[in-house]
Amino acid sequence: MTRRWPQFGLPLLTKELIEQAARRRTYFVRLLYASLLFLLTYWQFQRILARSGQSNLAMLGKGTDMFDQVVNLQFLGIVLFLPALACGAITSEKERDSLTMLLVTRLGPTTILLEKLLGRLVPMFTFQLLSLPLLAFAYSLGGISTVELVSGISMLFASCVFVGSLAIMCSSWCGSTVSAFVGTYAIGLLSYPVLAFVSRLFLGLVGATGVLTRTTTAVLYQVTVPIELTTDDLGRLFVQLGALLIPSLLWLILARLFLVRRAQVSRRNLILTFFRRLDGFFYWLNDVTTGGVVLVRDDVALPDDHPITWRETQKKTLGTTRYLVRVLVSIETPLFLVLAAVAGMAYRTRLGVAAESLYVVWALAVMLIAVQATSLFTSERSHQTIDLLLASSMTGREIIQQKHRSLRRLIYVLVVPLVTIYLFECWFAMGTPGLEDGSAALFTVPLATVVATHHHFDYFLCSVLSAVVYLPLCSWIALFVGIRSRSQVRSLMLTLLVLFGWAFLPVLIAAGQTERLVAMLLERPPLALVASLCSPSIIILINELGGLGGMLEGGDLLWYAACNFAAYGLAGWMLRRYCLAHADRLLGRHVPGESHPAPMMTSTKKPT
Amino acid sequence: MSIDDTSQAGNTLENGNADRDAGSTADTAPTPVVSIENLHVRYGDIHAVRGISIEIPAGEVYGFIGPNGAGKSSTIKVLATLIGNYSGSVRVNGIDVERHPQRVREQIGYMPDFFGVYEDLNVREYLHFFAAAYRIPRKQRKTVIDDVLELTDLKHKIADQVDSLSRGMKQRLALARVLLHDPDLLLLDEPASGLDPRARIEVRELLKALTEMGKTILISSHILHELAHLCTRIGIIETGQMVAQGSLEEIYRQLQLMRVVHVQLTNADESVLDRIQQIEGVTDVEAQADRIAIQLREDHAAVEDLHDALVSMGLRIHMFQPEAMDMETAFMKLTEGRTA
Repeated sequence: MTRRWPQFGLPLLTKELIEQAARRRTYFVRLLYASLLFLLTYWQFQRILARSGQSNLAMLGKGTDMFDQVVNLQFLGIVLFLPALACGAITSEKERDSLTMLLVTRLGPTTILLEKLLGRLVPMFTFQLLSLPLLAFAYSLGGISTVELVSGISMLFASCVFVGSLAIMCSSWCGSTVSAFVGTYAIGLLSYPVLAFVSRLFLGLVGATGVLTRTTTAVLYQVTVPIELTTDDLGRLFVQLGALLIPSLLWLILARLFLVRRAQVSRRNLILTFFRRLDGFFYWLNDVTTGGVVLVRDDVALPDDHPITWRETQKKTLGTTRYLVRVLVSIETPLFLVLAAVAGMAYRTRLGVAAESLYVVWALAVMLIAVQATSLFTSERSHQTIDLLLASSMTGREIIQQKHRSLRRLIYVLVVPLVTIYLFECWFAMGTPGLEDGSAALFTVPLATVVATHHHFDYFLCSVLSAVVYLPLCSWIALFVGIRSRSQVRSLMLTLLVLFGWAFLPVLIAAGQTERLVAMLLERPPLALVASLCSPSIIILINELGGLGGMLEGGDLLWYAACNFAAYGLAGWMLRRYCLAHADRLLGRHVPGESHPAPMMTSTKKPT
Repeated sequence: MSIDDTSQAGNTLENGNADRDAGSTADTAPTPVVSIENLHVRYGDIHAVRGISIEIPAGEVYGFIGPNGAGKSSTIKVLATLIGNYSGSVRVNGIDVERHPQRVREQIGYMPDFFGVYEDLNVREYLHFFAAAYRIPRKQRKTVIDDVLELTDLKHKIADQVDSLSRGMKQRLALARVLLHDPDLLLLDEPASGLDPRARIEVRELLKALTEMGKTILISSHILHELAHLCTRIGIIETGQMVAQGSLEEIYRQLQLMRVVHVQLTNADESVLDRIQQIEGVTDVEAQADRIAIQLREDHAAVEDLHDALVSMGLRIHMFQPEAMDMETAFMKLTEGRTA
């Protein structure tokens, strides 16, 4: 009997890489990534150049800043992009019902898992390779030890493995890519500070006295700050690598366990499941406490003349008033607690924390709007109901208008916590008037808040305008992407990439130096105007730091705000107008009197 | 709701006159409900439909048959105003689909080959939803919905969630949906696909009822004998081209000209195939495992003549079986299983 030698091959990895290579998107994303990386590094280089007074000799030894910048940017890229790239590795197979077919082949589950992981890591590694010339250039400027160089590269590699493994684990557990996407970011956000903390614990950096002597914010910063990516301490490097690679192994073991057990798992809406469980709890509580008294019943009327809006607001669980109230309470309660907790802090810290809360609420609002808006049409496609709507008598304009109308309620809800923060900041900027009045504070504080908004009218107006202009703009952008996309995951990722890249990237890049950035911009008003027109986050920074921080005159703020909001308001209006004017064509319907475009598949099923 | 014979004819005439594109044919002959001339549909490099022409008069049930990828759904989607990149002339009730898609939508009821589920709605809400989408006045909706539920025998399911219905019931519900606005033309893409025999019979009976109401129906199906029972005319399409079109009898007649007769002979020798080949009208003779398949041109010789010829050659016939002509045989003969 002849012995059969095992044949070495990576069929799944090969397939994944061929598929990626065949997509235009791969090259577009790579180009975008490289452009951003090189542009931002160039910007950093310009700053070094400016500080060195154009002297070549003065630049020697200044490579550290640039090196850190490149490594940090790459780390940001890993954290932002890799979950999106890797979370669909297994769930996409589940969604196509092809995972079971893979599992019955001679490829074992572990091989499948590893090949899938590699399939997603290889593109990310190619992104990392993009920075090699930049790292080499930074190294040539001097100031970086060899250990630091090795540390930077190996930490980026380990971060890739950590995030990739986490995403694969979530993909292995979840039934849909959207759930895996949300799960990866959520667990990543929760686990990373823990890892950083454990890593520091190992190094003995956080001693009892250290914790006690620092302020709360400082401790929080120490705990949540990313692990140091560049270090010249070999011992620290090994500990940090261990802190990333050991959990990665754990994620992979869990992924291996889930892969077969949850191969047939049905898709579930996690938020919906959570709210339904919460419902169950409240019903139980009501039964126990009142014996099941129901004051207001959820009776649903039949549709009026706007059937789509009716369905979105009355029948879709997350669109109903009851759930919108819950969303509001879920955001307002922790926000109120945070704001109340920081009320006793020193003035500057308080302002900072309030502003940070604002950014978090903004991020949350944008995320919720993006999820809701992108799902409006992609869910119709995935449920194969879009053709039924398109073949009906409704015009494309009506369909889009009715869909968007359902988003308005969510926008109104999300404006509330934003306005809460604005009012809070105005009131605190006045020195917390009325807080000392005991029980009368219930009346005096709101009154004082009204007076405070008067006092900081420019700031308040600018803030409210930002919510009134940006949230609808975000909703139209997300809706537009959703109309054009076939799958919700793709549209959600694209929307978040566009919105966060556009709005939050400048804030993230300027993290820790925002005040300096705003001060620099305010010194040159035309530059500030251009910058605020380039990214909406700039005007929010100017408003927060300049408006309340007293860095600029009120009239100037109004000028910036007027230009900014006029431009963005116009952009939003034009996008809305475009969507409505070309509704039929965007939806893939036949348009009278228009030259025939390439058809967009209206449903996910191909006609025969 | 008035699903009656007369309204449809009235609508046809009215629309035909209203539309300037309808031309002057309206006063000479009734406008066909569907008129497709030289239709071409392309998806990038794929030429899905290549020059199809169909004319369906009012009240006719037209069966559209073809293998997967033949272009049936594409043709139906053009009529449903869901595809724009086509060339050729397509009219519904004389209204040009390209120029007046919105008016065409009022005239058609489109049922795709999949059931679009709004899992969060019950049957009543589902129908009210589409009644509103078809702009049926609010006061009339209840009556209309009661009527279509009665017709589709779903009244007892009115409070059930759509998602909980069986596939057969979902198809009936889909038919109820397309009838809400009383369209002249029903475009039914594979309505019996995936149904169990009972559900299939129920849908077939329902379609018969609609035919009796005078609805014009364009139906595509893979279940060929379903169409044989139901359709007044059929069109067989392959690789985007119409292979055969006409009434069932016409198609059978065309195909029967090349009839295959299976015979078993008890005293066949080696030369028998050559001898049979000499008989007038026989174009091909093939020895099979236990029989001989003789291909006969019926316009040259009748089946009975073949029988006589075999007897006169001294052959003893154990079995003589002309191949029965049914839809499946016709389909297999006319198509080669290619796709566009």
